[in-house]
Parts: sequence; C-alpha cells; structure tokens
Amino acid sequence: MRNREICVIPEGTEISYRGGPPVVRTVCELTFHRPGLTLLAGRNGEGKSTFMRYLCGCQPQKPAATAYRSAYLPEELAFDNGLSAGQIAAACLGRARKWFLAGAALTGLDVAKAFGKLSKGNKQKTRNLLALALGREMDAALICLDEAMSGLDYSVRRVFWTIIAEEAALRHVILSLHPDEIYSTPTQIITVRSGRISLMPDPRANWDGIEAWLEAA
Amino acid sequence: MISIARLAILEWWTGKSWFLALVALTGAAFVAPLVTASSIDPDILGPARAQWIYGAAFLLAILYCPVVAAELGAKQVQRNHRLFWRAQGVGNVEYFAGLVFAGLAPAILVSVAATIGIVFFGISEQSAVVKAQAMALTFLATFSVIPFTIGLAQLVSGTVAFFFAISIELAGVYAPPAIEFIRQREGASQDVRMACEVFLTLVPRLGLGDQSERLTFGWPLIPWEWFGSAVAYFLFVFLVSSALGYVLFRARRI
Repeated sequence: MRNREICVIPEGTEISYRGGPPVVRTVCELTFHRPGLTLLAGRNGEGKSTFMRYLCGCQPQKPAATAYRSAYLPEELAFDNGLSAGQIAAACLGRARKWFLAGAALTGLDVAKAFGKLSKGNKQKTRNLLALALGREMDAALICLDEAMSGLDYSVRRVFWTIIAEEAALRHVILSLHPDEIYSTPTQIITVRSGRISLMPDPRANWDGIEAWLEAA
Repeated sequence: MISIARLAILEWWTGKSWFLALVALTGAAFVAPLVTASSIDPDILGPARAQWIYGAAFLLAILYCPVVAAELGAKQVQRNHRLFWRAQGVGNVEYFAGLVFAGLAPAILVSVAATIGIVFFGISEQSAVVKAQAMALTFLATFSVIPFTIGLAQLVSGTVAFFFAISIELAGVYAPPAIEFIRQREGASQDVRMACEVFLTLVPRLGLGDQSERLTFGWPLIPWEWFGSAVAYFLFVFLVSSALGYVLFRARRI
C-alpha cells in the first residue's frame, strides 16, 4: 500500500478540556502515516487517552486535517450484561462481522456467552475486535486502541499483536500500553510524560529504553 | 444510526423488562373478571375488562416507556458509548435520531400489545377502529416526552430524567383541568390569572390522550377531523420535545 500522510500535529499543540488549562502539549512535530503503527507509552493519568481523543476529533481542539476516518476504543467501553459478543457484533457491524467472528475464533472468545459473564480478558477481546472491525468496516485511516492489552493473557497478547500488525499494514494503528512484550516493530513510539508529548528517536527501543526515555523526559 | 438503534433495541430486548409489560397487560385481562360482580350483572364484564386493560396500558405508557427512554439515554454516558460512537465520526443528529428511534421502538411494541388486548378483551359492542383510535391517542401523548427524556439523561442521572418525564406527563394530563378550576375560582386576582394563563400556555395538553372513559363506557368514534387535529397536536409536541432533547443532547460534548 502506498504510504499516505494522515495528519501532522505541529510542535506546541496544546490539548485541553473545554475552558480548562492544557492537559498535554506536543514538544515536537508528530506525523501519522497510513500504514503505520504507533506505540503510545506513559504513566497513568499523564494524557495518553486525551491525546487519542484529540486525534479522533473528540476534544474541543481538533487536528487541522480532520477529514480522515477514525475508530477509537475507549478504555471503559461497556455493554449490557445480557448481550453476547455475537449479538453486539451483529448490532454494530455489517460486512466486518465475519472478520469479527474469525478474530473471536482465533483469540478463543465465546461469542455466545453473555458479556456480563465474560472474564475481564474476554471482555477486552470483545472490545478490541469490535474497534478493529469497525475500523475495517468504515475503512478508517486511524484506529486508536486505548489499553488494548489490559487483562489479556500472554498467548492472546501474541495473537492480538499479529492482528494489530496486519491492521497496521492497511491503516495507522495507535496502541497505548504499559510494559509489555513488543512483538512488532512500531513505526514510531510516542511518549507522554508530565503533559509533554514527545517522539522517541529510536522506534526499536524495548521497554527499558522507553522507561529510560520517560524518566529523562 | 442503524447500528446505534439496533444495539439499544437489542439491549432493551435482552433486558427482558418487556416481560413485565406483557404480564401487566395480560394480568389485567384475567384479573378484571375476578374482581367484578359479573354474576349479578354479566354486562359489566366487558367495561370492567376494558377499564383494567386500559389502566394497565395507561400506566405502562406513563411509567414504563419513560423509564426505558431514561435508562437508554443514561447508558450512553455510563458505558462510554458517546465517546465510542463520536470517535467513529457519528454526528449529533445521527446519534440522537438513532436513540430516539430506539426509545420509540419499545413504546410502539407496548402500544401494539395494549391495542391487541383492548380489541380482543374490551367492550365487544365497540368497534376495533374506535379502540385503535383511542389507543393511538393514548400512546402518541406518551411518545412526545421520549426525545426530551433521552436528551436530559445525558446531563443528569436516569432517575432524575425519569422524574422529569413523569412530571411533564402527569402535569400534561392532570394539571390543565385543575388550573382551569383555580382560574375560575380566583377570577378576581390578576396575578393568579396571569400565572394560570402562563402555565396553561406552556403545559402540553396530554390529557387528550386519556381515553379511559371512551373505552370503559363504549363511546363512539372520534370524528376524523378531531382525531387528525389531536394527532397533529401530539406531533407538534413531539417536535418541540425533540428540539429540546437535541439541545440537551448536544450540551454534553462526549
């Protein structure tokens, strides 16, 4: 696929909630290309989700180029306890439902079981697959997955890394995560520390490198 | 919009609260003969049954439908669905329309079930058209608060939104005659008259939807021009409610 620019976030861009002081600020220019994979690293409450919302046009300030389509997985997305993953997919998806069901089979998600009876990891699988399937359905340029690996066991994480890498070959996927084994080489690593959003010089850094960069930021 | 409505309707369906509505309607049909002295006067059975079923339908219209709408609206905020859908590029109009449709669907199903109950178990001498006409007015009166309730539930809890919805409905049904009475009694007081005029102008006349007497006493068909005017009035109230609801819906950004 031809490499296309989705958006450029200029240095000094401030993101805030309505009427409030800036929560985060970019300290360098950030560019997102399609295809691509960005890892977003940072401690709790530092502004990772705020930055993702900004990229998806859900903050009062919006990126200059908002014509691109985006899909976003909020961290605490919940569904009715009585609905099964299959029913959720049937309600929300059209042609991407088949892909969702294939992903469910691959990750061992029981699509007939009620959402309320699923374990934390299986709920996370439902959310991840739904966000990725919606991204496919609308041919989103950007998919933001907030804490997508939270609650997943090590083997399913590997499967999701594969799925995400496949998606990242078609569009740009931004993945926020905490120390984890990184199974794919991202295009870039963005860190958020004390409200400062910066780009790591080496996208091949491991978690020790990310940690050291965060400490130094 | 279709996905939003589909998901919300599915949530209502799997929640199984519709089962209580069904029990209330069928229960009313079976309880009526047990509490009526039909052994003394067999003619009383039809009106009694109609009264009980209509009572259940009226309570469902005034209580159950706003509960469903308030819950539906509140869930969007509680479950982070607003952020989820907005991030996929779903606009406010599309999102709100999807929710209103999802709020109307249960109300329509309940009204159809109640109409079937009245047609089969109501006064046998009364035609099905009269009964359907009366039930249509009853439920159209209720439908009007659904968009407002969904919009309000974005800013306050579902309980508060439900409280507002039921207050509007009760005021719309019962307040105008009471205010009219006060206006006549306090005719000499300019202030009271003014307050009455303001209230009577603002409050929607949902009392038009109370068709209990028509169905209990077997009254004839409402002239079609009057019926059409009442329907047009309820559609107008629905539009006002939708506009208010949309303003409230937009007031919360995510």
